[in-house]
Amino acid sequence: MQNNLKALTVLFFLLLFFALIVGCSDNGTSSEETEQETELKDPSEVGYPESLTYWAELNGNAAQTAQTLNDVRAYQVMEETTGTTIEFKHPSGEGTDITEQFNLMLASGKLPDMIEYNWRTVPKGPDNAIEDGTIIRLNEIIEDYAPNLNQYLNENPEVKKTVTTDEGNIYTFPFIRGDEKLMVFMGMIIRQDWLDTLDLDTPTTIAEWEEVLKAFKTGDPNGNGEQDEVPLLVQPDDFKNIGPFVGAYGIHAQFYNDNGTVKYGSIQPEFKEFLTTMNRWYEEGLLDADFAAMDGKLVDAKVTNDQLGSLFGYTGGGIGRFTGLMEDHPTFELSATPHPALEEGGIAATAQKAFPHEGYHSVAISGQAENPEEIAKWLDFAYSEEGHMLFNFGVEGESYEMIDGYPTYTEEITNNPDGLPMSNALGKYIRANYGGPMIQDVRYVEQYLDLPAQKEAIEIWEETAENNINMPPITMNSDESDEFNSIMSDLDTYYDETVIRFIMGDEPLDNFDEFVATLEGMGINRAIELQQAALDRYMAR
Amino acid sequence: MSKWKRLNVRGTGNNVFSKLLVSYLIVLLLPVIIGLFLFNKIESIMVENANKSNTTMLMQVRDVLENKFEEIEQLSLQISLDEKLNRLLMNQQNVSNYDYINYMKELKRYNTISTHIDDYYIYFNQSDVLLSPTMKTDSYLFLKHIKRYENSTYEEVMNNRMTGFHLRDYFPSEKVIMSSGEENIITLTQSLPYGEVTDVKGVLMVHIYEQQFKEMLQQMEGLNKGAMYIADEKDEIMMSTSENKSIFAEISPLLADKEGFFTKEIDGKDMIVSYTMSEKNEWTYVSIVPTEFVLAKVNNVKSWALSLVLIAIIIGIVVSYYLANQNYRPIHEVVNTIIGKNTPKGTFTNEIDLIKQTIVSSMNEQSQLKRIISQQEPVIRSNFILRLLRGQVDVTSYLEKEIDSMGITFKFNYFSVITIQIDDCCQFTKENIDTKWVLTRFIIANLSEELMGDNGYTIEMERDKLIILYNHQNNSADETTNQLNLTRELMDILEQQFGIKISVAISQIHFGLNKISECYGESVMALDYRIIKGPNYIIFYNDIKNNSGYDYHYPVETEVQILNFAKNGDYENVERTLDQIFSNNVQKEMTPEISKCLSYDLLSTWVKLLSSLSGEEKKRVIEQHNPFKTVPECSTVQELQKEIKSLYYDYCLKMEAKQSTQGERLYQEIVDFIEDNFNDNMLSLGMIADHFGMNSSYLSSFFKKQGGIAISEFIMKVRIEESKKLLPNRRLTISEIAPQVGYANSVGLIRVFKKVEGVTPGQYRESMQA
Repeated sequence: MQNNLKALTVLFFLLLFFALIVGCSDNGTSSEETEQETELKDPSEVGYPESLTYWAELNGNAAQTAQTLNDVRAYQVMEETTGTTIEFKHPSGEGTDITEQFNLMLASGKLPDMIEYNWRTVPKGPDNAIEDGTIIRLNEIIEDYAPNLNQYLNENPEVKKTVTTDEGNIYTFPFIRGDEKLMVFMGMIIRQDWLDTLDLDTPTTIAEWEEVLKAFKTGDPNGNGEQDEVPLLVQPDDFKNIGPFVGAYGIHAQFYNDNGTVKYGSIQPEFKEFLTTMNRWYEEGLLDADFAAMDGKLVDAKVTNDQLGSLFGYTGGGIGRFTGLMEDHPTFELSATPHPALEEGGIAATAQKAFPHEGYHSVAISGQAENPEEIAKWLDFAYSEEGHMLFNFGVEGESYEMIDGYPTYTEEITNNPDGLPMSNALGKYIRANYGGPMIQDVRYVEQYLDLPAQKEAIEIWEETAENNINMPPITMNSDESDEFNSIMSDLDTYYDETVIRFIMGDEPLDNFDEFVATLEGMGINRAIELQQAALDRYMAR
Repeated sequence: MSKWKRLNVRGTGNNVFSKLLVSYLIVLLLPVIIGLFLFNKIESIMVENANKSNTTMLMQVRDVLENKFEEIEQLSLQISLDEKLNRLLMNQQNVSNYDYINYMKELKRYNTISTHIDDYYIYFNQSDVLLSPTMKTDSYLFLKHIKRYENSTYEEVMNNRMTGFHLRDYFPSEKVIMSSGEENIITLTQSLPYGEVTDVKGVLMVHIYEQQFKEMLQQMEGLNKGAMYIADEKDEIMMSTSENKSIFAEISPLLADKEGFFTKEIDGKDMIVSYTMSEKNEWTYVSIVPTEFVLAKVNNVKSWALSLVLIAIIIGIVVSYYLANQNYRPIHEVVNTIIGKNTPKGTFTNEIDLIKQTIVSSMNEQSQLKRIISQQEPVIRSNFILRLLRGQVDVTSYLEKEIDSMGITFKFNYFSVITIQIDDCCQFTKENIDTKWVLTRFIIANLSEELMGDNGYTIEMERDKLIILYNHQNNSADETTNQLNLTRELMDILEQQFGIKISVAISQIHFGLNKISECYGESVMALDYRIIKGPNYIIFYNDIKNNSGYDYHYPVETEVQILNFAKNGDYENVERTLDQIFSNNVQKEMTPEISKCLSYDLLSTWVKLLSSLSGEEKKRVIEQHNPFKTVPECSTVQELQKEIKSLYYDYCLKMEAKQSTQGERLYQEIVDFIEDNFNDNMLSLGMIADHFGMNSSYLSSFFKKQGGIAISEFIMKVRIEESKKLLPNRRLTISEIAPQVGYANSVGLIRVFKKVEGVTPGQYRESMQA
């Protein structure tokens, strides 16, 4: 009997023990404490971080195939190489939505390790962001932990000038266009087949344009028997910010650098001339009646509906894209036209030409990042030889092959089996086609623009504008920027509305002086002063 | 092995082991059954809960979706009621292009209100203007190039949706082709102005991307394994997560209630169909989830519980078997002890029965044995006490245990003896005198035993004599008084109730078992005084030992004792007895005359002893001691005692010496006697025994032992031999010879002769002459 009891007791405790083990096995939580690093680390000791958070806009080119940038091959390969996992945070929407969400993020005070944005144009400017502790000054960190970028900046002082604030702070890992050809990508595009159909020459002056547009309007170049052609489409923002047709009048619609003096184009008498022309074109139906109510989809619709005669657009997103969309069209052909000049043999004062660095797609390290040295090391990878190839051409064997020492995109990119346009196929692998913290390689654009018309376009657009009056990427200090923004926000609203009204004839051009007076009343001269100051400092860098 | 053998031997299933096992298993079974019952209950509750939570989840989804729709409807209402819009609608043909563009900004404001509305458009009927927050175009471009409904032509869309009256009309999900790809879109249309039925001037169109709702539905667990349908009040599928619309057609007739769930086999899989109807717009939300998914946790728990129960049962069975075996083992061992290697006899149901029967039978045997023993006990006891009284027991060699075993317990070591002489026996019966005596003795014995209790043992001594051996606590006057009282009571009762009159003699109290014979002697001596005191009287030895000295005590019993001891040459006992006699009598302070009488008495006993000696020896002994001269000459009692003792001593010495040859001599004497007296017709065993003073049977066996033939045969042999001597003498006839050899007549001789010699005496005589 005692043996029985013993056996039962042992059994009981065995069961109890078993139950305890089962019960306890779930509770394996651990807490880790992290220490704040205050001293700069020895560069040789710094490795790649384990994980990072990265706020960045997900460009449409990538969004086609990727939920986050982690789906982009370049980042996947980078993760394999560095062992760093990135948690991407992408704002939704585009344009002002992103600005809004960016501001919201800053306001929330919870910042990721890296923030990709145009820090040059943030309210109060980048110096203030550093001062606030939102982001950190990178000069020393780049020097010590980003040898590749450091080397490039030292070898290209002009570029270094653009990534440095007036106070001498380097604030981002910049997106740099590595070649002149990469800086020109927008201009006037025309239906070459319509010109051919109507037996017209490529227009070079305002007058020639008017002739051609009128011919488009009346000549039924699309051959559908209806007068549904839309000869010209330029959106108001393009007039305002880049200046097609505006440049012909020797000015830029916004601030420009007239030999060291900042001027505001829209208050110049030349601007009235420009508006008069446009108003005439609008009235005559040459300029799209809905030019001020246009979105991408509508542009696409007008092109694909075989309605649009000419437009202001990109080499890639314009010539390339529409050629692709209309490849079933028997005659569809686009070509670039020279930037229009006022007089025969003249040259446009300004047109689209980017600076090697303008602030877009550049990454700042947040003030809340715990390991800036490691982050810097991770970011610097993109500026290394290996990273440069990765972000410009993707993965060798997948997206490109080295042919005679030239990184050539494979069919996967150029003739995607899934039917992706090249920009989207590139978006699947790299960032060179829209930008990122890297140096853009000219060999990308050479292949991207595979149509002869595209390659021609760059040259034509490059040659037919002086671009001397373009404002360099200046930076304003916090106070300046505050004041400037407060002036410009109201002013722009009024400006946008009024310019459209002038063109559409809702506002008689006789009222141009009132328009100028109103702008002055809203403080445009003070804005010019502020720009001047910034320009002076920039020149002095 | 042995266990199986055991089971086989006992037959099937009816032995104690299996009973124990079964009882343990039943105890085990109880919690298992209760557990299974409870589990069953819990399971059904769990299943119900799982189903309920499934339905609840569906309802949550419904609420979320409804909120979204609500939001969308709110937005559409807001837009519809916009004053600027209504102004535009009224004057749509007269307003400038800029007014439309200007209104786009207003429209843009609504963009931020709802995050789930991707696209909303206002179509102006009369001016064929279509506005979105970002663009202004016409219906053709829009429906052909911006958003093309795959399954409807431009005209159909225009007729069904863009014109006519609509009040929050939802058009089920439809594939729409856009430059960015294809999307399934639910279209909400609201004709404008709001509420205007006939004079419709435009329409508000909201595009709801099904994908967004699907993403929301993905949150519902398990939906990716099943499907979800939303049907409008006409049971048309508004949207679904599955391409397979036919399933819904199968289910829709079953959706009777407002909400509920049921299981249905769809494509060979068991599915749980949960549904709930919107209270707002009578839309039905249906989710179809695989049963196994909904019940996955339940099934998981179930399989866990079942395997645990199984393990518990297995452990339970093992433990039961172990315990049953443990508890059965002692019984098994007992059974083995009982039956040994033999196959048990008789019929029994199991081991316990066997054990019970065995115990009962052995108890019976024991009680039988006890009865036999108790039947024998009084005889053994009285025999033993008798011997104690006579002093024939070597007290030292007896162990208390042996005494106990005879039913005798002496609590104390003091003893006295009471002798009861029946003076007048029981008056009950008059017929048989023997029976009367027996009855009387029985009455007295019973009564005395009853009165004395454990202290007295009563035995029957002679026909009219009983003896009580009385055990005393100590040697005190109280004890004596107590004893006397008891005796008186006994006497009174006997006399009054039975009419039995007795005389009682009580000895002194002595210490030790070996003094019991002394007690007996004392009581016998006291009883002798009955002659003096008369019957029906209690005589104490204490009273008579100091009498006047005119009598002495030498009873016949004592003389027989002495004779027996002496004949055996046992001087030790003889001397002891003599000492006792002397001490008894000397204490009485005999007078010399009486002392002389005693001396002669003892001397005459001695002379009696001499008869066993031959004549010459007798003569020599008498001459040697000349007792008749010396004894009377003794002047003191001590001298006398010494003289008598020496007489006995010599005799005993002689007897001891003769002891060895005595048998032979006796035999010779007998033979001589027979040879001398063979002619006496009266010569027989009885006569010879009388002659030698011996028991005839003892003599017979003694003679046969010594001589090898029986004494009668020997006599016959002597007579035949004698007759043979006489037969040759022809002058004597057989009739004359017969009396001479001790036969009464010739017939006896002839018969005996023929028997011994095989021939008649006549024939024998003939043969002698021839």
